[in-house]
Amino acid sequence: MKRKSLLLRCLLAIAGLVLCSIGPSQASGDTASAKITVMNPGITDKLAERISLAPRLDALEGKTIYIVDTNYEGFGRLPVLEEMQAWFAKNKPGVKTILKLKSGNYVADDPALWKEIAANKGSAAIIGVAG
Amino acid sequence: MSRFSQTLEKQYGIPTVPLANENVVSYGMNAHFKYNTGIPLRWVGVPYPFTGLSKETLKTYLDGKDRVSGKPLMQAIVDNLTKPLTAEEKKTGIPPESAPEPRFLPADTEDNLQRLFKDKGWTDYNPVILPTAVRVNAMLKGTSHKPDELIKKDSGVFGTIRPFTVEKVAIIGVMAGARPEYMPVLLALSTQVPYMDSTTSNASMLLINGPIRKQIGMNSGEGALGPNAEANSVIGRAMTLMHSTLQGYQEGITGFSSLSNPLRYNNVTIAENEEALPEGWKPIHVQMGHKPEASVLSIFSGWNFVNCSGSVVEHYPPQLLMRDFTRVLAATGAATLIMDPSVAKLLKTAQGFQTKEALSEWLSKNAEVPAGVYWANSIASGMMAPLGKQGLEPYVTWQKVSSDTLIKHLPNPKNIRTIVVGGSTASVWFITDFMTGQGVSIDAWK
Repeated sequence: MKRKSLLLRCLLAIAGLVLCSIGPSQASGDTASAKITVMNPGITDKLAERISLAPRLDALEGKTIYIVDTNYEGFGRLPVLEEMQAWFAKNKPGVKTILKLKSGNYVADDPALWKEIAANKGSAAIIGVAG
Repeated sequence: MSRFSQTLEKQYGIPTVPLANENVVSYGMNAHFKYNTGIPLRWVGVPYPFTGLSKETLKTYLDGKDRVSGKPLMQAIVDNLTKPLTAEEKKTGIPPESAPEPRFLPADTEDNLQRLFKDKGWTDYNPVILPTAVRVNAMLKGTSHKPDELIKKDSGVFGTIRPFTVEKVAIIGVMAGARPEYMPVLLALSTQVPYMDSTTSNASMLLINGPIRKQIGMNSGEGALGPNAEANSVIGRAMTLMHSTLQGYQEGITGFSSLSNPLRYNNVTIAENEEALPEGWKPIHVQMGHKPEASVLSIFSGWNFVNCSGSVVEHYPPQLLMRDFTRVLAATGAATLIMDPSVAKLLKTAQGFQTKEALSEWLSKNAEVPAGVYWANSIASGMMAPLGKQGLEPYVTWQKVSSDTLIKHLPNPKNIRTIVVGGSTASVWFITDFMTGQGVSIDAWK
């Protein structure tokens, strides 16, 4: 029995050595260098139609600028935009600024406000703030 | 926000300057401009955050530099409104088509292809199964739909045009490690791109109901929410890969989420344990109006996933703790409970909730939160406060009451759902603020 067991162990050890010596090295050698072709998961994005910016103003003096608060916080005007209006009053007194709160939440459109800005001869608009 | 600028610039010829933090500006000037708006807006980048700060700090913002041009911020605004347009900014019309993505990638070694897939942002940064034609063809046998069938065109972020076919879904199925029999689920899942994203830490959850759960070997019993079953694991992973490939979500390029959410690794993929529902408790898809024998996929979105932190105790019935835990949910007015069958059994037999709907009604009537806490949540203030300003109840009233007044913040019981799943080893549950629509057919994609 002891002899048989010893023989079996020797055979298993030899088999193990053979597997170790030819298995991984040959396998990795073959697959690592072989080239394969695979299908492409990528998708082509369609570029958007280009739109020109509106012509810019010659100067801001004598113009009306709307500062539009997009209502990011939901509760009304952001102090940073009030500070911006104060900056214009101090540094560009010839510019009239009107601070307006957009209706709805910060993603909701407000066509009435855009119409109002155009109807009141708004020369430009600063729109913010998004985070 | 760029939509608002676009309207004023294009429709009314009024020059604008949009203001945002750096990440939003980066997105607005790059991916959003190229694929969504086509208008090269003159953004100005302000520091973040811009709320909850003193006037002095805000003044330093205005005295500081624009994060786009590097000029003093107010000077940049003045320049952006007055500096003449460049030839590039005057461009109109449809730009030349991008070179189409080839059906096959150039031949390369496995290691290089694994690297390429990661570099392209097509993976979850774990190795994928490379989609050889043989594997993809085998995957396509899981559906009767033709490989070139168009599933959706406007699949990109904010609906950008990124058309994809059944074959693309099969490619993703291979990459995720799917079996062909998962294909109807994957195809139904693909119809729902773009998935919800946010700069905040939201996540998605997938629920599968009907016979397909058993047919594809989904686990709805013991260990159902963990990494313990092939179908649950792979389908959840496939959603992550669809998010990056079909939708084209690339963190920092087409989307920004400051912390993101670890639930996004597997998207909480659940098969309801319909067989373990107490009598009278209907599966979610049947509550939605689908037939019991239909297989249905529902995608939920939400923020919070709160653990009951132990099993049910004798002296405090589960519905009371559920009521208490609703206080930490996002203020969307929605809640989804995920409970072990043993909890469902307790709620029915010991607490008298004969149906899921009865539990929803009870929670709707009894869940309360101080108004101040409710409005402190930016989901509530950003989305619901403007509804109050427009005269919509209950938001009008909730804004009028004192901050310590308790308000019933889950007013509509239909927005409170219950999913039963698990192995009845412990009476455990989660409460979430996840919400969903009406579910989509999986059978249509067999």
